[in-house]
Amino acid sequence: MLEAQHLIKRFFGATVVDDVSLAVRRGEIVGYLGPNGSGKTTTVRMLTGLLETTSGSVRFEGRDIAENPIAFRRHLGYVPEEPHLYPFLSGKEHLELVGRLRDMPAAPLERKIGALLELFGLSAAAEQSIGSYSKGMKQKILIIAALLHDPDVVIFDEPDSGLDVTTILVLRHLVRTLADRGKAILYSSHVLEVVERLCTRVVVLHRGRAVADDSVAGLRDLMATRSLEEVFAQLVLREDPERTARDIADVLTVHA
Amino acid sequence: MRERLLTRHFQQRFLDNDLISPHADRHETLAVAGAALVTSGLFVSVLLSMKYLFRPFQSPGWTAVVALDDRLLLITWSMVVMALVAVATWDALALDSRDTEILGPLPIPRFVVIKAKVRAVVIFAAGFAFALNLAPSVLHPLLMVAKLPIGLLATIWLIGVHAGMTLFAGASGFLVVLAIRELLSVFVRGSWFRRVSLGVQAVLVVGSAASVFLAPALSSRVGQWLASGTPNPFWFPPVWFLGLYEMLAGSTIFRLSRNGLPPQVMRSEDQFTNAYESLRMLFHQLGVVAIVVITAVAVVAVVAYAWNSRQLPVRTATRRTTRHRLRDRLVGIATRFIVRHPVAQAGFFFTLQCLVRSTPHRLATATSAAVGIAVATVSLRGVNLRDPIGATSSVAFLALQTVFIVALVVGFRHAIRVPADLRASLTFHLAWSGRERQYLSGVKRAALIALILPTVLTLFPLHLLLLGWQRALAHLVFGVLFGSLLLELLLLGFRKLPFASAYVPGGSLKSMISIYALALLALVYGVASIEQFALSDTSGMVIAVAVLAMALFCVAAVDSRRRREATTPTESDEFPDSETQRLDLAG
Repeated sequence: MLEAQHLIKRFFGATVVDDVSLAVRRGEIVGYLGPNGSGKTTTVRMLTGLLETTSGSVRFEGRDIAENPIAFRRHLGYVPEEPHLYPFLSGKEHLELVGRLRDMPAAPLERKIGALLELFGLSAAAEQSIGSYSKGMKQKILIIAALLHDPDVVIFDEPDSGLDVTTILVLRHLVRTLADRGKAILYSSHVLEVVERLCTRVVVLHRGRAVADDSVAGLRDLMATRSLEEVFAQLVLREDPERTARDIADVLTVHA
Repeated sequence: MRERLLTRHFQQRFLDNDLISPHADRHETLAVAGAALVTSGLFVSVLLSMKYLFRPFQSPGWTAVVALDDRLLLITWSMVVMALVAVATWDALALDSRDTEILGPLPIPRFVVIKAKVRAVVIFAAGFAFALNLAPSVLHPLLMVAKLPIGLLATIWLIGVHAGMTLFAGASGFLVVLAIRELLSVFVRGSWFRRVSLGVQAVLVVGSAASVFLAPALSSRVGQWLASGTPNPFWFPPVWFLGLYEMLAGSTIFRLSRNGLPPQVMRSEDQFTNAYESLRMLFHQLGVVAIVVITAVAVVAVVAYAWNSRQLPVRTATRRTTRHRLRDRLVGIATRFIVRHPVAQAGFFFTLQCLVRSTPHRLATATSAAVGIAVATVSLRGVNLRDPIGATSSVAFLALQTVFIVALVVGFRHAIRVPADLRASLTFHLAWSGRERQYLSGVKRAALIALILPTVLTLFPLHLLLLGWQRALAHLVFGVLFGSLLLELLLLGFRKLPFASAYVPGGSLKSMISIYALALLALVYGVASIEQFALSDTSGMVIAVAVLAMALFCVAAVDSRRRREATTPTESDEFPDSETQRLDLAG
């Protein structure tokens, strides 16, 4: 359904994403893992069409999304990493704006927004300005806005940051349910445990390059490890985390 | 060291602007603003000094009386511009919850943070005041006395007093705004402060921007005005500083030797000398008022600032949990009768929300209204509204409605270029359906509802009273059609996302502003003249309205066709001009 072919992105000569290819098929949840600065968000922004590629292409249903990005975005739901919303709008007004921009008819839109705000526990705060929302509340608004038009492809970029435990659990079930209903889902996260439980396939990114692309079980077998955390450690970590932690504590003590 | 670092951090806050294009250089904007201030001071000084340089026999009495106009203009200019600067940096004048979040966890004593903030505010205000007043302080006294028999020390004294008084007036303008803000913060706490202060800020913008434009009108024939005492000069704060100025430096010119002046010049010189002499007591009284008031304002500002600094501010949430039945009903009416297409509804409601709730857009609208008030006040000076026949036959009276419409629509055209929140524009990039025509139609209808209709309806009672119901109604319809046509014309080639595109401040405006201003004035009076002619009989009214409606229909149709046929997508970013530009002279 959504396919990235040989994506490369350079900023002022520095290669941030280097020849990354991946595919997300209907009903599939692809986990996208990588340490900070590995190029995850840059790839995600290229997949959504928000960022131009230096080379390579992103295809949706076989067509390059650059040919008609607006048509592609009608099928796309995207939960960005940072909750940047208009602080002077209320949560409800923001969702109305998104729905109207997406050309959704008024009556069903109103009903959908009401129901989703209720289900996400935001109906009491629906009329409050977003400026007064907590990070978790803003994140919920972003999730509702991404799903409002029932998209075929959903890209989550760190969707659980700031969310409470209950909402994280709901979100996990929601992602699985959406996949069961035929949506293609790319789930970018730092939380290995979530990706291990949720995703059918995992792509691991390191220094801009995809260093692994397989099912969780396949990766575990390949690397002869028991968990995704160990797979990740072997693929990405170049130093012993315990030792690094000890070194940090030592620096703090020595320079105190 | 730590305090200096904090001061620099707070100074940066005055330059922070989350709205402009990421491609624009913030320092370039600052440099352009600084250069504009200095060059405008140079230009005004030289312009004002022409009358002294080209006078065949310049005499001390004449100079003393005529210089009152220039001095009042420069004092008023300094005072209101500094007030405007304080209003524009309203939120950066004191510590806010963001400072608390960043600096609160650090082991820095509160008084160090506050001291650094105060230093940053003082340095910023002083820098601005110096840039504003430096050129006039040196040039104006020098050129004024160039042909008078005056010594070096006396000239230096004049320059010093001029600099001191304009800076003093500027400081008082800044301090008044600061005192208002801090007093508001003392009496109105929490989320209510945010709401009330936005309203107060808008009122102050309208007041100070209108004063900037009204300053030249206030500073004309000051000697005659002060001698007549009507209107009471004590009501005008800049005149207090003029009094202080004359108390300190008035006699420096006035007492110069009159030897060698021809007899015919001496005759008028005696009159000027007597006129100036008669005002000296008044200058003294005004000067005392200036000292008392500025001291009181400074004390109030400092005490209120200190009171509010007892603890670092914390973030307060705005709670709005109740549904507004009236608002829901109005939304229902709008979606049923004004904007039916969902994308047009998005444009319509987002425009209204930005104009009402977004700070930069409220300020843009307030400034436009201020320009309208200033131009209208100046143009109505010669119109006697108590004489209906005389008033209604004047072009200036009919131009009143057009002035406000032009000011507000031009201001709106600027406001839509400014993003409400650049980072939140992602919402548009993701959800944009490409229906530019529908979205823009919603934006235009919102401008009609929020700006044009309130203007014509507010002025309607006055027109009804003076023009009679038939002509008042025709004038109202004319105003609505003209406003809509102007809106269509100004948005004809506009291909950006209103309120959601990055923008580069200034652009070509810095070189074209005076031409635009003249063109708009010509437009206002041209339209008013046509209207005056058309309103003389019924057939004229019908023809004028029909022609306007036809023009509106044609422009809207052209715009609609262009947008339908556009092959390039709607722009969401604005880039600064290239450093090297091609003139394409070779064709």
